Amino acid sequence: MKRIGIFAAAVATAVIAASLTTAGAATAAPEVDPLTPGPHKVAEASYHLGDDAFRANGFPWPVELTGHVYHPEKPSGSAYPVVMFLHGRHVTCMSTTEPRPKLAWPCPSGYQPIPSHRGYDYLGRQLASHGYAVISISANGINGNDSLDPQWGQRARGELVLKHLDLWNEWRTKPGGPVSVAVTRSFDFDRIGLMGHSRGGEGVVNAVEQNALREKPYRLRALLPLAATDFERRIPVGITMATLQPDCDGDVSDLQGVHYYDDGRYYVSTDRATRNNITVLGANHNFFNTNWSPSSGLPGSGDDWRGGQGDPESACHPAKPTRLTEQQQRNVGIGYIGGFFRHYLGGEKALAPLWRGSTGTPPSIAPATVNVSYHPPAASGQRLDVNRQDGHGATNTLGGKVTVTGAKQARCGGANPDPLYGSCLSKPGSRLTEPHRGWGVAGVFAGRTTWAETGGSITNEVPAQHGDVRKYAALQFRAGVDFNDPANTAGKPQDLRIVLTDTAGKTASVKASEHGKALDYPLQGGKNDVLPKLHLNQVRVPLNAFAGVDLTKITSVTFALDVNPTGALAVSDLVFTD
Amino acid sequence: MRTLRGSRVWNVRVVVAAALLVAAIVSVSWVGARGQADAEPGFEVPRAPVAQQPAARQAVPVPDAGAAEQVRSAPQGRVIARGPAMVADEIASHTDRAPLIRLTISGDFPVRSLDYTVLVDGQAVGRGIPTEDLNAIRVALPQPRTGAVVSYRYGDGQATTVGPLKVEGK
Repeated sequence: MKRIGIFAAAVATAVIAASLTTAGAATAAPEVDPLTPGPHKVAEASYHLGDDAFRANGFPWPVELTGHVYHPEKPSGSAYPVVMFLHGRHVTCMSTTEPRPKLAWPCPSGYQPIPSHRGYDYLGRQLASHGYAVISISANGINGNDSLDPQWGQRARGELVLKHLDLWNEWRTKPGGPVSVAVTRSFDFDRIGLMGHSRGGEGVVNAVEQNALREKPYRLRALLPLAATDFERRIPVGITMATLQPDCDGDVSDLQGVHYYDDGRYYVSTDRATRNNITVLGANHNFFNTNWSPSSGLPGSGDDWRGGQGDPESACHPAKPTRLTEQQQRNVGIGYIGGFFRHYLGGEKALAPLWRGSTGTPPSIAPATVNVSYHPPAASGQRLDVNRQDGHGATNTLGGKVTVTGAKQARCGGANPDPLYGSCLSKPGSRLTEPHRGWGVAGVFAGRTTWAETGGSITNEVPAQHGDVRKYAALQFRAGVDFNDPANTAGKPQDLRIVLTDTAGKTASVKASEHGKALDYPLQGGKNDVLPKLHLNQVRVPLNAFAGVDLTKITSVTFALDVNPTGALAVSDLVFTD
Repeated sequence: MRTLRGSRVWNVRVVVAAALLVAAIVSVSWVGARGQADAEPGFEVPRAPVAQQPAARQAVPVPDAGAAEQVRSAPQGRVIARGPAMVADEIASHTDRAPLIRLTISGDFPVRSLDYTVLVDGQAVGRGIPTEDLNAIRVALPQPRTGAVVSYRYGDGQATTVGPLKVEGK
């Protein structure tokens, strides 16, 4: 019996020891500054299985299986979450003797592949130093021929992502990869994240759908489309995601990638995934990829915002302090792309304020201004929608009355593609100026709110059954400043007071301007520019800022329009949230 | 004493051997099982369905891959129309159907994220397919008409006018 007992203890010890290794090294990070490198020494390796090693379904052209991996040098049993990067559409081939690049695949004689997938080295190394296995894959074969594909090569991109995951999954038990099996066994396939840039952003969204159709899908847990296209209007659901929009993007200049956030907010009521939208002022499309940036000297690189030839009056002009340099933009990439995976995939709780939008841009990322919107799931009780402008002007989402006094509020936005009637601006908008509109699909409904004299208000009644809001941490809404309307003073921030009232009639109010730059006047462009844009930025006010009201008996939320004498805003997504 | 010591040694050996054996079994089966969603109860496999085809983008005609390949790469055919910085030629179809008419617009067309769309009299006729040297875009064209004005745009941006077409006599 004693021997059996000792044996059982040994078994239990072995099982516990094995299970403990599931706790990733990436979950513990004492440093809050997202730019600080992690403690791991980083190793890296390349692999190339051939220029014609892969054929995607319905895409009859050759595709390479080429990639580069960054990982902590020291193996540690399944400790390192996996993040895969997919670059976007770019010219494919370059020559040392010919000045012009070529769009072809495989590259013709005398030409070599442009290493677009190596443009995220800085980000891969940084994430690996924090305990991640980062795999950046090449998609030149798709870029070379996707103009011939009715699906823009997006299905092929999705398949390519899954093919590389298959390879690495195989290399965890069999030799053949660019690193030893001991290293690949350190890769935690229970925690997989995907980041795609530009068309690659849409490609990783496509990978999510194709993965779901597999008999044994991978556990994809985090998704980040960066400056992404959204041709197919797919809506990611059931996966934590963030989408990043560069304000000075001269390529995907309508910022269509924001639809991944906007369209999915209320698409599935049982969705338990968190969404974030990140808007980066002064950032362009290309500088997140070093090999697409002018300093690389590679063919096809450049500043997509007018190539530096644009109107010098624009806030996007490289000479303006509002425009980010290559390095400043990459700092944003490390902070927010890296920070996204570290928080949501690696579980670094210290980074949570960044993703709730409850802190401003970290000082280390200055001078960039980054506006974050946060949309936690309602299904898990993390969010209570007060008014999402979902159809009834006089009644809010909770069924409470909406009372408008001394101001006007009219619904705008949504799917309506009409430049005039759907516009949240005082003059007809376009895809360029109003990225949050659905332009035919979903989009954001907002309340176009205007006031011509001070003292007006918009009051949302909170029915009694919802009046106890103690479980929430903050009150949030999204708002954008109408740059077309003279009711807003050009260049000056707009402002309003948010007022909470309880059943005893006590009130507490907070100015929006005390909690971030969401209502700053939009950056202005020059002639034929990508700016200005009506961004719906998040205003987040912690509930503890409303001193003196009983948070167990809230009866209304009021926007008091008495800070500035006149104004014009688009307002949406009024919620209590964690 | 000797029996007791022997017993302890045996116990230690059993513990070490069992621990190694179990650790190996657990480790191998665990590594093999990871990565598959059905191994974790409650894990909801994420999806990314298409919400709805946006009408505006669907309106741009796209030929099948075979025809698109011909439009991009077929050798120069009989020229049937010309215009400033453009030429329309008749090329063999990849099927046995009637020949394709291809319009080539010369210029600088860098590879970017969005498509170039070619318009005739303001109506989108197709995606502009860049040539290998990026010095032209090509599109399959309906029957050209003298005076028809050709333009192109990048994404949903403003159209750039190329000019009118003039059909050449046979």
